[in-house]
Amino acid sequence: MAVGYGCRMSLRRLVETEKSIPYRPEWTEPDVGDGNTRLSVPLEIGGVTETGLTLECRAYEYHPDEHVTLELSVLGMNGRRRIRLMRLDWRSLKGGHSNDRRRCSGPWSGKRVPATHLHSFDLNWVESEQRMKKGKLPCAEPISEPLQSFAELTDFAGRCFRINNISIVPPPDWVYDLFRA
Amino acid sequence: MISGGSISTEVGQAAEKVARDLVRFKHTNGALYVNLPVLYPDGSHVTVRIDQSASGVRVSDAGFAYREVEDIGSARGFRRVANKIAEAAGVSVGERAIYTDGDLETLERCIYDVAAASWRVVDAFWERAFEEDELELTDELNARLRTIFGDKVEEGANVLGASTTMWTVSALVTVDGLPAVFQAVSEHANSINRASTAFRDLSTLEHAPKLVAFVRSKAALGPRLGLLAPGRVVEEAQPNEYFLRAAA
Repeated sequence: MAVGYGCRMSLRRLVETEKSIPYRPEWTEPDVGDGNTRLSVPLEIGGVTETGLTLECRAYEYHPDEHVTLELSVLGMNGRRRIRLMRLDWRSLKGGHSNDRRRCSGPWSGKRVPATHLHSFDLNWVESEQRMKKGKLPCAEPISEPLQSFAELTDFAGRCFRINNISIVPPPDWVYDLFRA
Repeated sequence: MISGGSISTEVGQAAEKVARDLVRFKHTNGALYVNLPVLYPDGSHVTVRIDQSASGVRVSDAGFAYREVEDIGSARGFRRVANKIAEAAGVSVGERAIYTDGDLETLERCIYDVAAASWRVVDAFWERAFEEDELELTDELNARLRTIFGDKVEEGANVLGASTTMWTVSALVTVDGLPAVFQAVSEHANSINRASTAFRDLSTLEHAPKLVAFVRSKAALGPRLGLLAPGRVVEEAQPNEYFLRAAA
């Protein structure tokens, strides 16, 4: 049984168990150079905060309403390496995602998925060895919901990641510049 | 089999459709982005950003390579590796982005150079992080041991050696009261040396545990396998019975 650091719970159970965010998290100051801003918050299961289990979000100051990533991960048993469980990419500027032909199964094997896509747990789970596939969640699938706003994005992520109060995650401090095309 | 000479309309149309879609372009929030038909190891597309500058254009990777490297926990070494690769490619490294300045005549080549450098930087880190990563190998070993030995596996156990050094091993498996130490060993010299030293120290205990090294490929380690003496060695592709035998 693959378990997350400290949690003593299988990775699948970590994903499927109802979780909550213990406090209203804040975005970091945007980095110099690319304006990257992050938010990381530990999650609670049954009222107990599991510090190894986190929701991490990334966005870019000058890219409002696009190029946002939300990821669920847990520290591995060695306490050093983070095991990624699921990721949602919204309107990625990097041209979507291309699935490996050998490692990814299902209808999207060897295909490119759109700029908004989900690296789901099941697509990246190796059942026979009870572990995640090597790499950064190499397999993704498109999602059918249109996700027109940050609120819709977090609402969808909350349902996928089973985080029941994800709406307390504030939107990034995006700069809306009317003079930029 | 490849049959030369004739190409069906269906194949021709499919190839043309794919070729037209290999490069994508987006104008958003004051910047131009070009997605190229080259993939970072995680499956996202190498992408460059084009900005207008006073003297022409600046082509950069918008910090994407840096973020890819940061994502696998290696951001600290980014500048050193990126500078080396950028110098060879004739491009520059800024705070986080790999970039070059040019004009409209050389824009195409600027895109090639920045994209290639960006990809090479990420690839260099990725190789190290995922291909020969002892931690990765440890996770695979533990997953395997759990399927074979169930709750008899103690992951990341501390075992005291004859020298009184405390060794943290990949896993300790206890079957019928007899302990067996399993240690994941990558091809890195440090990984081999650490396992070798621990095995020698543990083997001189009065009640020495069985010592088993888990490697990706015995052939890849070659003569270095001898350094793991007096341990036994099993490799990833071997069936479970070998693991049972090694622990017995």
